[in-house]
Amino acid sequence: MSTPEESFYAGQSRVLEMVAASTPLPEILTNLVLLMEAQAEGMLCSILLLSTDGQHVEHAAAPSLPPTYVKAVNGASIGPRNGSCGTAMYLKKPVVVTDVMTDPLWADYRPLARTCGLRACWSTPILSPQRDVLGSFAMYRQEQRGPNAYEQRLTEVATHIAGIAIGRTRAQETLRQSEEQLSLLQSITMEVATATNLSSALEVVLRRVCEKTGWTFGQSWLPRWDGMVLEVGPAWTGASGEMAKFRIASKARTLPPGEGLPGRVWTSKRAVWVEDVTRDPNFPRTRAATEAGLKAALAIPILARDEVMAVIEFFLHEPRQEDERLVRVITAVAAQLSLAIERKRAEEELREREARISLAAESADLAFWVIYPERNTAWMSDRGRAMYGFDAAIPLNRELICSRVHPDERDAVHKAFDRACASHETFESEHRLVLPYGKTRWVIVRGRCLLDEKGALLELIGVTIDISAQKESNMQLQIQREEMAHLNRVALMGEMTASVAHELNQPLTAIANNASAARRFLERGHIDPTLLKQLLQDMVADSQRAGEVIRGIRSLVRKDKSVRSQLNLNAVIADTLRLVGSDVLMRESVVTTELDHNLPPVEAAPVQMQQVLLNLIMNALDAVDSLPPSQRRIIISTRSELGLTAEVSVRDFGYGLPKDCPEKVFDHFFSTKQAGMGMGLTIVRSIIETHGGKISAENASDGGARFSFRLPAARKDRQSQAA
Amino acid sequence: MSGEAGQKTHSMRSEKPAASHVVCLVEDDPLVLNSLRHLLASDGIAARSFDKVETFLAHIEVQQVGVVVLDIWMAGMTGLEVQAHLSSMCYQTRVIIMTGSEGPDDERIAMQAGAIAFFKKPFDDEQFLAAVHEALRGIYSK
Repeated sequence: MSTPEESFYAGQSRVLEMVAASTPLPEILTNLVLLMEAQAEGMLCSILLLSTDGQHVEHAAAPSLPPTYVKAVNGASIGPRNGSCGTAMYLKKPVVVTDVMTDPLWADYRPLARTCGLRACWSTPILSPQRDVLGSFAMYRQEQRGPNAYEQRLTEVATHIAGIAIGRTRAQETLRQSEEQLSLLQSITMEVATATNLSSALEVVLRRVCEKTGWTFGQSWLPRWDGMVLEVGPAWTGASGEMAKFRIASKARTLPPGEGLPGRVWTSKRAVWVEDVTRDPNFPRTRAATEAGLKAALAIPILARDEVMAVIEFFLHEPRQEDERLVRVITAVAAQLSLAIERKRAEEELREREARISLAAESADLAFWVIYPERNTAWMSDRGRAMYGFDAAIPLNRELICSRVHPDERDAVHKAFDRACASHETFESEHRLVLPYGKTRWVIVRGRCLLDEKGALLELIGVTIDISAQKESNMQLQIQREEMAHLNRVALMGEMTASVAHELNQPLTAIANNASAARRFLERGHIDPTLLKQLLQDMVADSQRAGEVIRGIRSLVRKDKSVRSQLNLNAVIADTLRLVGSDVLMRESVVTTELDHNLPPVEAAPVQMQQVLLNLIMNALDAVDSLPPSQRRIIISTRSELGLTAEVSVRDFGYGLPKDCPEKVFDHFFSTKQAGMGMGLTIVRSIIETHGGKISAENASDGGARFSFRLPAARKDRQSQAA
Repeated sequence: MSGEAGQKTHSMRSEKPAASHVVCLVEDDPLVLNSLRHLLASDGIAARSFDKVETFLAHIEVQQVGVVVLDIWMAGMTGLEVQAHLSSMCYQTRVIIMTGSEGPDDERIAMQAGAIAFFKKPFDDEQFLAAVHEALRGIYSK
């Protein structure tokens, strides 16, 4: 058999093995106490732990002490006069009380000690390697005395092993807790990330925290839409009858900033712990909490961009002092939630922004694009890719986008881009795109530079507008306008019947006559060569004159493009008057001119200027038609304003224009003439306006109408070039 | 052509049939006027040219005219008006009217007012000369 010494060592080994096997701490400590008690006759031992708040003793192992005694000691405060153990933990050194009946440290426990038959109590603190107090080991005796050397030796062994066991268990506990917290954090983070909205994310947090911490009830508060008060949110956890009542009571309230537990958190943006809400002066739901049996509470803000998005609150059925560790864990959880919310929000904002831009772009039939010069890449909306003829999959950059620009305009577009990049200005360009299959589009491109906070170029963003249809209709309009102008000229020719016929017949008559005369002279056999020469010369001159007339008429009725050149309007007036000379005669009217001989040249299409004058002169002739011949006067005058403009007026002495609105004559289909189409003056105005000029109509103070048009003088450099 | 010829026509009869100054040409286009003069000359008819109505009107104030070729469209007064003026002065002048651009009633008016002939420019030289000869015969037949 083994010696008592050997069996003591075996006992110690057994206890240490239990420690190594992670046996629950009470079991280890109980075994340790029993082992010690077995080493000495009549000795009772106990181990107490220091509570986590470091203020109280907690029962750990006392298998041989009376249960009443154990129960009475459990939870007692430590202090300088708190029995042997409370004092030993407090003083961090052994306390030897040889007689509890007389020692002042035991003043509060004497009756209890007497009942339990305890007379001496020697307590030694159990210290961690860092010399923190973990608990105490005590030996009790029923006789009054101090410990002998053997007993002191046993105490050393016991506190050493207890220290190992408690330290190890504590470390494991801490490890387990942090693992649990970590897994709580992980699972919450993952669940929150997959939550579709704030409420479901909050729900996850509330449920998980309650599950892991054992708290009874949790719910969320959200700022109302107007941001004035907090309201109970949909997320909560802890379904039971009492909790439902408490929740209903919460729902009945709104909390302004600073009011109640959530209101305080909303204002401070920090976690708030309340040991017992039923005793808290700032807790409006006291009654409901009392009825539900809720005591301790913890509330934590969920922040996004430093703004409180929500407040979550947790309740416990018992009062509890602030647990910093728990606050830290839940705050970490809340931070995860905040991050998730911010990320979600940012994603939503980006998506929304892109959606909004796309919507705006698509609905306006715009192509939207972004060029990133730094990375030499570009992005284009679907509509843009369709407009530029890019496949959806092709990666883009500026070069590729510009490659679609018509070769004639590509350089200019590149320069516009470069200029914008260099000066950080906006740019606009109207140009053609040539698509791969040969189709041409007219587009307007508008863009601007986006800069970072330091002013460096980040990207070029812009839109492209397809204006092909507009261009097409403009061209159609231009064709129509030209067609109308042409018809007008043809109609004018019709009105100028007398002039046209007369102008042509005159030279033809002269030619015929001269030719006949020459033939006759020759037939008679005698002709003066000088006379013959005269006749032939006249014929040549007449045929040239006929040619001129035909050319003049042709140029008027010809449908060609109006080419502009430097013109002296005085000369155009003279030409036009020659053209209408016969009509003026036939209508027994008199046209006089008052020309400014310093009139600057203008840049204009000669035929169109002639058309304007013809229209105005024919109108004036019509206007004076019903007057007696002596009053059928028309005055054409020119003048210049500082050499910057050339102005022509055609003035008649007829009955004038409608008094109320002389300008109305320029409207389509307005006509004072029975035979008039009402198109002439409309065309005249459009011709003048396309030449950058202005035309006006007014009644002269002394009777009759005056039409005046003014054109800008041709630019000086071009004038000298032309000269 | 009728017997109402006055003493002026009588005095003309003493001259040669192809005598000058018998046919007056009134036309304000100088090239046409010259061509008419040459045409008449080629047929041996002398003519006096007027390129302004006013000059002709002044001329007939002092001298009777046997035959006049009048253009219609001239500055100041039309040929038809000159014709009317001549008949209002009871002159027995034979009138030939010509025009480069015909008004709708021009020919009717001219013929009713007693014109020998009405020509639209350009016209056939034979017909024109025939008309002038006819007009001259009218004078000398008296």
